This record gives sequence, C-alpha cells and structure tokens, in this order.
Amino acid sequence: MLRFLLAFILLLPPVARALDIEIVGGAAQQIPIAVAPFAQSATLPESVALVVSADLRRSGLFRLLETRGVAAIPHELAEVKYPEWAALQAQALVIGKVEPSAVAGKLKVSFRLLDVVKQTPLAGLEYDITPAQLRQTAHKIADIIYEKLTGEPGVFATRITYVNKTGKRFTLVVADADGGNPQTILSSAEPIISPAWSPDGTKLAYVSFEKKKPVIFVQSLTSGQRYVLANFKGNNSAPAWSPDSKRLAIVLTHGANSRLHLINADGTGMQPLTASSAIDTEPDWSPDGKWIYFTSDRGGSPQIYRISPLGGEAQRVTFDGSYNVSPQMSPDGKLLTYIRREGGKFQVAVRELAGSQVQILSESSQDESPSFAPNSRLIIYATNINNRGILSVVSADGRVKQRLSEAGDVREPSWGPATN
Amino acid sequence: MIRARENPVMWQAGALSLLVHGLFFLLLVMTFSWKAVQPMQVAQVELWDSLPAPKVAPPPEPPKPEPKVEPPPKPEPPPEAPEPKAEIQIKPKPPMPEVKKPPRELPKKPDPAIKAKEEEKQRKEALRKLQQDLLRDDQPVDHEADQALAEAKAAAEAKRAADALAASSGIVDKYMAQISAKIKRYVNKQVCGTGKTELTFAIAMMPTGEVSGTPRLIKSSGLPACDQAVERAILQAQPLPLPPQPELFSQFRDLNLKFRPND
Repeated sequence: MLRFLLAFILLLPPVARALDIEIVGGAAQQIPIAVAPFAQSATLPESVALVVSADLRRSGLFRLLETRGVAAIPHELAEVKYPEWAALQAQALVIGKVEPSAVAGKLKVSFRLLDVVKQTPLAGLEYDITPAQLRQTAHKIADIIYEKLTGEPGVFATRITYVNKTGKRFTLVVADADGGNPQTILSSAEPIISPAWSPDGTKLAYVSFEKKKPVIFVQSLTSGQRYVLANFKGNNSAPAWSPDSKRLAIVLTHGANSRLHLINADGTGMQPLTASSAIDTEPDWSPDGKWIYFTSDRGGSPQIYRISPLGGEAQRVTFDGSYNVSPQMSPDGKLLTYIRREGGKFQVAVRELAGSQVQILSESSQDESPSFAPNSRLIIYATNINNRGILSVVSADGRVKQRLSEAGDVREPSWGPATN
Repeated sequence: MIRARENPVMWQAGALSLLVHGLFFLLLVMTFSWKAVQPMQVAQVELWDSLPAPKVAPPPEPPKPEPKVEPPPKPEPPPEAPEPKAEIQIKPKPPMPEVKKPPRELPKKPDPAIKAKEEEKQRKEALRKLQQDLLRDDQPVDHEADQALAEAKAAAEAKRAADALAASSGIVDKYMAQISAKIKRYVNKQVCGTGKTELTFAIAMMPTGEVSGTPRLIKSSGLPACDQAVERAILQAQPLPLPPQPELFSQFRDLNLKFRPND
C-alpha cells in the first residue's frame, strides 16, 4: 500500500508555490527623467524646461535624459508615445506648454508629469501668470515633480538671502534658491551681517554698520520700508525670529559682555535672557518655540547651549570637540547643524538632536553660517575658495553637493521659509 | 517535553513527520535497491514505454514466405532476452490462448540476419501483447503482475525525478540570482529614506519574461515614494531572465520579491 502511495505522490504534478526572491540594496542612484522642451515663444525670457531640468539636476536625485534625439516632442498627453521614452530608459516624463492666456498680457503655463513605466499621468497643473513670474512658476513645477517622485517637499521655489561684497560696497541680496533672479535689498558702504528671515518670509532682520556701530534693522520685502529694531548702547547683533513672529532674540552688550535678550518685533519690551560673565551669542529658536540654542564660552571653550525663552538654567548641547558655534535647528526639529573646528579647520557638522552621532558634511576648511532649507534636507553655508567667498549647498546626509557663486565675495547666507 | 495539554496537535504533527520521513526513506531505499539488484528490469520497462509505436504501425516485414507476422510461440524466446523477460512473458501466458491470432509455427531460417529481424519482431510482438493484455479489463486481474509493474514504473519515475531535481535546483538558483541582480540595477534607494526599510511585491510572470498585470504591493515600506520607485524598477527590469526549460517556468510563474534597499 505504501508503494502505491509513493508512486502516487511521485506522479503528482509539482505543487505551484510562489518563489521568494530577495533584492538587497539598490544600484540606481537617481531617478531617470526626461523633461521635454515646452512649447513656448522664443521671445520669452526663460525656458521653463531648462529651469526645471537644472533644478532637478541640482538636487542630485535625478538623472536628466537627453531629449534631442526624439523625433516629435510631445506637448500634450495625446501626443505622448510611451515606448519612445521607455526606450530612453526614462521612468518619468515632463511635457508642457506656455501659451498666451485669455487675459491680455498674461501667460498660461500648463504641464504634465507622466510615469513612463506604468504609462499613467502622475500630475498636471495650469498656471495663469504674468511674464515676470515665469521663472518662479518653473521652480514651482520643479517642486511638484520633486515631491511626486521623492515624497518630500521641494525647495526650488524658495529664496535665499546673502551679503555680497564687491570692492568696498556691501549688498544685501535676496535670490531664488538656485541663485537666479537676485534682488538688492540694501546697498551700503559699511558691512551688513546676520540677515534673518521672518517665519512668513515677508521681512528680513539684519545688522548694519551704516551708523558706524552694529544696529539691528527690520525691513519689509514687499514694501521696502524698514525700521530700527534695536539700537541700544553698545553692540546690537544676531537677530533671530521666534516661530510665532512676535519676538526676536538678539545679542546686546550694554557696554558689558555679549548676552542674549528678547525683544518684541516692534522694538518694544526688551528684556534680558542670559546673565553670565561669558560671551553668549548667535541665538536660534527651535521650531516649537520651546528652546533657544546659542553659542557660549561659559564652559571655557565655545560650545552650543540651549535655554528656555522663559529663562532658567542653560543646558549644554555639544560635548565633542573644543569649538562648536553657529547652531541652526532644522525646521522639522530633528537635526542641528553647526560649525565645528577640528585640527584648525572650520567645517559644517550635523547631528540628530536625539542622538549623538556627528557627521561632518564639508571638506573645506573655512565654513561659516550654516542654514537649513525649509524641507530640512539641505544646508546652505558660506565657504572660501581661492580667497573668494562662495555659497555651498550640501544635503543633510552629505550625499549631494552644489556650489552657487557670484561675482564678488559672498557671505552670510540664510535660507528663506517655504513658499505656499 | 511539551505537555500534550499545551500542544493538542502534537501527536498528529509527530505522525505526519514520521510519515514524511518514512516516505523519504523509502524513496531512497527503493531507488537504490532497484538500481543495484535488477537493472535489466528497469531496462525492460523502458522498452515497454516504446510500445505504442509498433502498435500503431504493424511492421511490414521483409517479404518472406509468410507475409503476415505471426506471434512466435512463447517457448521460443529470442536468445538475447534474459531471464527476467521470460519471467514477464511467462506471467501473461495464461491469457495467451485467448489471443485472437493463433500461434503458428515460424519456419526456421538459417540466415542470422533474418533471425535477428525475426527476434526483433518477436520482441516487439511480445511487448505489444503485454500492453494489450494489461489494457483488457475483461481479463482476470493478476495482482502480482500489477504490483510488479507499478513498482517498476514508480522506481523509474523516482529515479527520473531525483535526477531532474538535482539538475534543476542549480538552474533555479542561478535564475533567481539573475532576476534579483537585474531588478536591483533599477532600484533607487535614495527615495527610501534611511534605516531598515522593507517592502514586498508579488508579480505574475509570463514565459516571455514580462510581468503579467501590475505588481501587487504585499508589504509597504511606509514611504509611498519608495514603493513607487521600487515598482518602477520591477517594471523597467522587464523582460526578466527566465530559464529556457519550459518545465522550470512553472516555478517562476509567481514571484514574491522582497526588497531591503538600505541594507
């Protein structure tokens, strides 16, 4: 009987079972994407496809594919032949056009993001804009593409501010995150330092030496109007906005050592916060408003501390190394970036607040003023190449690096908040 | 020891385990014993498998005095057929008298070539008769014969299956590795965050190496962008490398792809 059973079992067809295959790691570093040239008039000042491509390429997460070999560039969904783009090994495709809008003097910009592999549309939008907004619209399109494919908000449509020194002239500049479209906010024969964005992005606080001493100003970016925030006896410096925009932390000396103070956004209600015989400076609020991080040498060497805006004892935050300054919190509250001096080199470091592992992000030796992008993924900082100040952007995990440079000596960068 | 109270299926599990172990043991034992002791019987069965041919086309023998090929008298087996053949021939002998073609004396030819041909004929006829006898259901069933045949057939199948398994598992492993390597080329782990990210897709394959339908997400990584990037990687890796042997494709028809992009 057992022999029959055996024969029966052996003669059965093999039972179908799903085969398990493990795939560990991933070799592709970037998403292959093709941005087809938009249909647009040659007289327009910006090529939307070029701005979008440059943004995506600069993020380091995309590989831009050459589209010149494609016979007929599609501008609408119906014109797209997916196999053509799959043959280029593209995973995503961007098409669009810029046309005169129904409203006189305006333009209609429309685009579509398509999944070439699954042959489905992923996103599409239309904008009604003035020609002057064309570049900003291209940045917004790049943001949408970035968010759709990486799951994270893009920062291409945000702005940065920095100080450019050419000859003996100092200029406070606000530009697009890619350095394009620079606008002069203030031009002065005396130094300008420490620009700080208000949380809603409409105002800049900065320190100007035009009165031959450091004075804190607040200037509206929409109206150009400005007022003096703090001009107390001694030095007034290092303004930092609270997350609710109602107050700023500033550093005053009053003829003594540098100490932290709080002041209302209209310049009233100044009150001291720290009181030690050490130097306390460079305040930065945490995104939840509960802590102010700052640099202090009260422990004997410059280190980073934090204190509650309500006062109390300051807690030390950095313990490694002998020189840690310029703290900046990430907008998501998880990371802290600062400048660390090691072996005579000043480099950008980043650390998880919850952990203690420090990662050095830069390879240069004279880094200053690190500042997080609104998506907490990128850090902009000033560095020195060949005795010229330039701006550098590095991803928070150190993988992607870019450089922005302008004629002149660029310093004191600060990344603006997210735009809506 | 696990108390029976705590594990109510312990006895059934034990019995099943014993049964499977016993079957496996028997498989090994039977394969070996057949091979060592009675090789010719296996050869015999292989011959039997080729029977349908002579049944379909009765061999037109060279024009001898007898145009019709008659079944040779049983007591005259071909010289090269050894004892076991006689054994089998002897067994179906009882039904012989009821065969339609009455045995006739074959005139003896001194020519060795003709004799060889006749022997060939005789062997074929013997095997054909064997098949006929077995196919008849109005014949008295010979249990012993049935059992011996089932054993022989099972042994042959077991030997074939064991050989095929050894060869194919190597091929299956090779193609699993190739599929994994090809998909990995397109997996973009930059959008999968950091830390231990795991996700699983189930896909159905077509013999051409293409995915049938869309990949099914069994376990998400928690990051939609990562899930989508991995799905694109799977689809971009088409056609997936599959083994050329059609009988092995059945193992690749359904695949569970488990990803750990950050490892």
